[in-house]
Amino acid sequence: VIPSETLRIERATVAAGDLLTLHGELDLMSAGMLDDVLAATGACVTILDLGELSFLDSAGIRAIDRAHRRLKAQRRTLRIVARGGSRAAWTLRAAGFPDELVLPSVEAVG
Amino acid sequence: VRECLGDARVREPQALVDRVLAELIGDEGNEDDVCVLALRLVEERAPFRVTVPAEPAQVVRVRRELASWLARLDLDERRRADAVLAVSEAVANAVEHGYGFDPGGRVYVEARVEGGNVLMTVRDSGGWREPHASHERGRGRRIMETLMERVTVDAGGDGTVVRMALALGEAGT
Repeated sequence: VIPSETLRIERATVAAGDLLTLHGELDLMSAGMLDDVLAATGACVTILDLGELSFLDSAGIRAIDRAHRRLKAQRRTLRIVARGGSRAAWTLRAAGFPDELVLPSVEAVG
Repeated sequence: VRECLGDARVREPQALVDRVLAELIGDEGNEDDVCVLALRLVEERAPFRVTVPAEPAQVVRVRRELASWLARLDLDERRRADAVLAVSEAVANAVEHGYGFDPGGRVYVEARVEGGNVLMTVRDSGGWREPHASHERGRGRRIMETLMERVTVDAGGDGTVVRMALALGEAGT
């Protein structure tokens, strides 16, 4: 994993699967770090919590799209969490990311 | 007036007038007409101008510097973050697609206040473009168009100019 000064990824195991909580900025600069961390996960369900991000851009969203495709090809699932009012939820909506793919909390992941 | 405002900072002229009247007159009836005028000083701000090499780390730098320039304008936190994001998208696009990450390329960023708007310009002189714009590629453009009042993109043989406008103050919210 390439360390980044602007992104920190916290990893935990919850009932629903692997939980990755992102802190800081997910952008053109740090998106590669998310690719690497996701490649190292193996759970059936991986949850990405974006609610703590201070910044998200379209390059970050592309990294999420890539992760979606890669996990799907492995018959695994990626769930996106971004609490209402968070910067990430706002940015995902502005980018036209489908609302129904964004869950309001980790607890909402079924 | 200064005594009744104390250390409070009131941003909106109407709120300031209401507060002064409440402190000085309160609920007491008043036989004379009272007129309180509040003026908003519109500060002349020097434009923001930076030129950076076409490297991803420089996009982060532009965001930091633009955010501090925007901090003193009449914009709430969310609109400031929107402006930073929109400019960041345009700069990242120049770095990635204008120059194909060639650090010899230069990206020019300018922001200024004019007629109640913040006008932001991102210019590159790169010629490299992806032959086919994918669906994903359109997200950056969509972010800019959703968050800004106006976005124009002039792409020519000698580079691309992205111009964006965001209204200051109440008009923009």
